[in-house]
Amino acid sequence: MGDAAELIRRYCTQADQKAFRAFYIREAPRLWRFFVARGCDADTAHDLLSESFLRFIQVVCKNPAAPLPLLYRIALNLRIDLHRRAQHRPVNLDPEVLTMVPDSTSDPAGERDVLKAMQTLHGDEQNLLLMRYWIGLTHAEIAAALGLPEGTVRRQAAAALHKLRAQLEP
Amino acid sequence: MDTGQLEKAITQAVAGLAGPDEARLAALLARLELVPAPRPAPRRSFWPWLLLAAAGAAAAGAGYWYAQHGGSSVPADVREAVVPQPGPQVPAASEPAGVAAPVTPEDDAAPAQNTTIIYRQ
Repeated sequence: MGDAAELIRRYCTQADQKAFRAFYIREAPRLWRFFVARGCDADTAHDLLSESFLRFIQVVCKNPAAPLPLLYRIALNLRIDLHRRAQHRPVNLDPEVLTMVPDSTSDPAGERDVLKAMQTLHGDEQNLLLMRYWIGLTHAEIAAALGLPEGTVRRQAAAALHKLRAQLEP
Repeated sequence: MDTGQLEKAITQAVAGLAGPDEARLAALLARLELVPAPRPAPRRSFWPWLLLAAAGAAAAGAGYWYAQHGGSSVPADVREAVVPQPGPQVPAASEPAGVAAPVTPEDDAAPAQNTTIIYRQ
C-alpha cells in the first residue's frame, strides 16, 4: 500500500509515467481477479478494469495519498452499476475461470471450495474479504473505499470470515 | 481451520484464478498513457509571496493615506490653514480686453493722503 501511494505520488508530483506504469502492472491483474472472484466473466472483468482505471487516472491526483481505496471505490461502484443494469441478475463465478483453478485435493479447503463458499456470502461480505485478504487493504482503507466507519468494517469482516469458515467446515 | 489458514486460503484461491488477457492489459496501459500526465507541481518559493505581500501592504498604505487626505495630495491641516484668496481681477465686460492705459511715472508713485488723483484721459 505504501508503495502504491509512493508510485502515485511520483506520478502526480513529477508526472512520472514510469511510476504509473509500475502501479498499473502491479494493480491491474489484482483488480481483474477481484472482479472475477466477485462473479464477473473474463470479458466483463476487462471492461470493468478499463473503466475503473480510466476514471481513476482522472481523479487520483486530487488525493494521491490513498490510491488503492480510491481505485476500489470506483471499481465497486462500477460493478454495482453493472449489476443494476443487468436487472439484479444473480452473478456466479464464470465456469471457464473456475476450470483454471487447480483442484487441490491435498488441501482440506481447496481453492475451488473456498471460491464456491465465498459465493454463498452476501456481496458486501465478499467485497470485504477480498479487499482485506486478497488486496491486503487495512480496515481503515476498506472503510475509506466503502464509505463506512472502520468499526463497522471490522465487525462485518469478522462476521464474514466466521460465515465462510462455517461453510467450509463439514 | 483457524483464521490464519482461512485468510491464506482466500488469497490462494483468488491467486489461482486464471489470469487476465495480457494483450488487453497492454492495450489499456497504452490508452492510459495517452491521458495527459498531471503538470508537475510548481516549486514553492518564498520570494513571490513576500513581494506580493509587500505590494499589498504598500497599496493598502497608499489607500489609507489618500483616504485620510480626502483625495488631495495636500495634508488636511495644511489645507485648513490656508485662507482662500480671491482670484485675479477680471476686467469689466465693457472695457476692451487687452487695452490698458499707458503707464506714467505718476502712476507708480504712491498717492498722498487727501489727494485727488486725476487720471489723464
